[in-house]
Amino acid sequence: MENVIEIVQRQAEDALQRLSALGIVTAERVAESVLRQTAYWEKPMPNDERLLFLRFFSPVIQREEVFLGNILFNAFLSKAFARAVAGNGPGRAELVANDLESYYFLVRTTSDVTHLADGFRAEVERCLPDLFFGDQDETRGIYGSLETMLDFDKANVEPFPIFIMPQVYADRLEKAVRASLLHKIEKSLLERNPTSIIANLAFFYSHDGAEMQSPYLFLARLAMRYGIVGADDLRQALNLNKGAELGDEAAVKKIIENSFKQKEGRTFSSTHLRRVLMQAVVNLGKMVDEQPDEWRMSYIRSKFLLHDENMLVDVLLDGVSLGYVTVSSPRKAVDVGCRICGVKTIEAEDKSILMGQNTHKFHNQSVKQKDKDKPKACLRCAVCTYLMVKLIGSEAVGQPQVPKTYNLIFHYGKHIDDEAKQLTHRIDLIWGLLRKHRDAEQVRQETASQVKALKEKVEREKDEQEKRALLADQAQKETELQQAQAKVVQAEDDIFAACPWLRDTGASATPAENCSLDALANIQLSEAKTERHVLGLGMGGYRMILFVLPQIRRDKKGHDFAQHRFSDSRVTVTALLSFLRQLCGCDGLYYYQSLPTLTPDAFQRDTFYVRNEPIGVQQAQQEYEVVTQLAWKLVGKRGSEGFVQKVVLAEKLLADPLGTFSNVMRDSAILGQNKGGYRRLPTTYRQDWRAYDLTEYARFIQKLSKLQEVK
Amino acid sequence: MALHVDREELDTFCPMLFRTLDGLGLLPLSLSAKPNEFEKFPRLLFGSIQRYNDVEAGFKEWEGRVLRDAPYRKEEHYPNLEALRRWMVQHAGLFTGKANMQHLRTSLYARVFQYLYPRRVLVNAYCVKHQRNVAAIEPEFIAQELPRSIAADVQKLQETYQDEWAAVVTDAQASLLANAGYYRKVLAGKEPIAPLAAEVVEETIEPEEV
Repeated sequence: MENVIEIVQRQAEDALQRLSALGIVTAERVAESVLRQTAYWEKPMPNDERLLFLRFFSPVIQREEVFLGNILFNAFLSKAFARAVAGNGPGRAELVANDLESYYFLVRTTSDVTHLADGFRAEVERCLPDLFFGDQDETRGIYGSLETMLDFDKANVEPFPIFIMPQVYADRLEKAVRASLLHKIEKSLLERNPTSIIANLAFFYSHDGAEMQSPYLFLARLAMRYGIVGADDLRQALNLNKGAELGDEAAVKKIIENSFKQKEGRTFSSTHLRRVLMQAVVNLGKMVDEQPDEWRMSYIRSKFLLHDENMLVDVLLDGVSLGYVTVSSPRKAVDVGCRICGVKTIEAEDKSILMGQNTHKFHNQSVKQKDKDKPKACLRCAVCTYLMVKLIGSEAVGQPQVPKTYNLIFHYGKHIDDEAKQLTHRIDLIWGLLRKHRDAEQVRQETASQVKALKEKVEREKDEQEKRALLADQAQKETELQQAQAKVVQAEDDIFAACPWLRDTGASATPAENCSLDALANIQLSEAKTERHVLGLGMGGYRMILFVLPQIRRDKKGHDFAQHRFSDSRVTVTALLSFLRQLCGCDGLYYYQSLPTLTPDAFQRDTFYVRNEPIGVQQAQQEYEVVTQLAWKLVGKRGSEGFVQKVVLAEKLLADPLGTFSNVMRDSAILGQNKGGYRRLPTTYRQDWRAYDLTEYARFIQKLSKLQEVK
Repeated sequence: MALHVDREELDTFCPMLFRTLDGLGLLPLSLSAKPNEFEKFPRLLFGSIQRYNDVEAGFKEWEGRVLRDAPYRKEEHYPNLEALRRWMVQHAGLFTGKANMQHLRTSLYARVFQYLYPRRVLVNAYCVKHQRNVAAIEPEFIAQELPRSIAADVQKLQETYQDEWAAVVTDAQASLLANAGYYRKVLAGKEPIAPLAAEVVEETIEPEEV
């Protein structure tokens, strides 16, 4: 089995080979430099060239609000550096290894590191608009899409952080918004109130507060005041007669609102509404091109950042170093630091779209700030959050729009980009199958209860004719039940086919009885699936893979107990990591709530790092699987509440295996008890034993007694 | 993190205790007994030791109770009781440690189940096989036919308890002989072996949230 030194050495060898520099320095030396976190050295090469070993460093803030965004930003910067070297003369840069903060490059160049830093800065400045508005391009380190950012339903709660962008980006932003809107209108079925589309229109194109507050009024004005939309087209969209009197703006607003909400007997026509919305976007675009001062984001224009592009780049690159050179000029120390990183100058407003649910809440810096409305975060943290929202989207929690939350899992393994995509497809496939199973199971349960009710009715019924009718109903329902059961079995077979290792390990394909499948089934994934991603960071070879998964579903009251229990539970997290490991099929390492670092003690293959504690794969298989299998078989309750109960039981079983299992047995319908709070393990009554077959219990006791640690 | 206990010693102790109690007729013959019936006498022992904080004194008090409550065969099984006392005194440290005692108390039901279940099932299966044959309770017959005559029926049980199968068989044979009077009636059909069909408990599973 290879260790970290051998892995990095092999990576270094490949990099040296690609740079045709095999004789210049040994791979051992490069690997040693990586593991010692060396910043810089250089070796002379023929023709005035040099081989540079460079540590590209960009700090990562370990706060949930910015963590994911910061990782994406660093991926963008590292790729911008490689491009800058290639574009700046005959040089080439090859990545040897990376963790989240440090990227170790071998560079063959004639330039020195200061020139490389200048080139890198220029490249970042050139590509920054793409980072903000560009579509996903992993080769350039650009993730997510602007369309994800535009997934808001209310325009009046600052749903888009325009205040972190320089004014010069206004034109680019407007064009990107226009393209996104057209795409959104095209793909939307428009069967229900198109709140998101009209909120987007009102936010970016309104002239005053009234229009922004009420997208319906804005649409009315587009028809009545500005002539952007034809009045007849609007009538058609609202299913009104051609000559129908619309009235004043307020009346039209009311008609539009009622039609979109399908209230007071009003409806709308999806086909004509699509035409109207398309017309609105296209004509607004024309107006923007013709009269930019009047139409290009006229109401929100003042919110753009006061800095120019150059200053923004300066702020973003603060703290970034290339070897021994700091890329940006050092900034002055500040009295009140950013509420996230605590270091940089506060320039970004405290808005929920960036700071999430903690917006306006107490933080350490707030005591030093007298003005509550003053900015609270630095631009770097704000941009990182923006990148996160661009990737996974936002949701409305009550009134404000907040970034979606996520589970982050890191994995080191040898995977190319296509493999990462394949992993995403497989996860999607499993999600689809879990959903299919859940639907089939629901139908089965409903039909089973109908059959039971009919049987009871038949027993009670005295009239023969009625009884015959009921029996016919019962027979029909029983056929339906058989069909529903067949669908459940089919869904389970499909799950086994997608996850063949489940059959080998004797695990159940029923999500409610399998820890990792249950965790996936309880994860809150939208139809668009924007919240889940498998991203390859670094460049080829043994690289870091990032699994971004949504959090566990909130309960009916909106509490995130289930997610808390999940992330606190080593056993359950490890089960999910084992599942991903089987899915990916390599022996690389996995990190959950742990920072992957290229150090020998935090880089062991076949290891899961959960909260910085290494857990061997064998330990996970031998110990944790037993308790999770058992807990998931014993708790009958489903959904997020049942998930929490299972997690708690698994943790208890791990802490005191036999003691907890004794409690479970006391509360189960076995031996002398005819009722209990726990489900029975699979058991049948055996006539030849005159007893229930409880060997499954015996088997688990044997397994659990081995878990009980010896002093 | 799992509780740190002297697992190996406790694993040796528990079967010794259960065997002694079973010999004295203080463990239920039926598997349909309630949990406290299985746990009663072991719990009394642990309570007694903890009350005196001394193994010897605690055991002596418990021994008195056990001998009073034991229905029969007190003299025959007294040496086993004495052997148990000696073992416990020799390993007194095991029973004064809080973690071990706590663990014994909480894990008792699982442990007594693990001990008793295969032995009772073996006896049940033997009685079912030889129903109406009262001669099947004779020592020679038992030695010859248990488990040979029911090998196929208890194969699953044997696979589960393969490491201790010999001890399970010996204990089951001893139990049949020790309670020969009762099992003679069972074989003659005068006493039921166990409820013919246990009550089926319906389990309701709540539907998943959508």
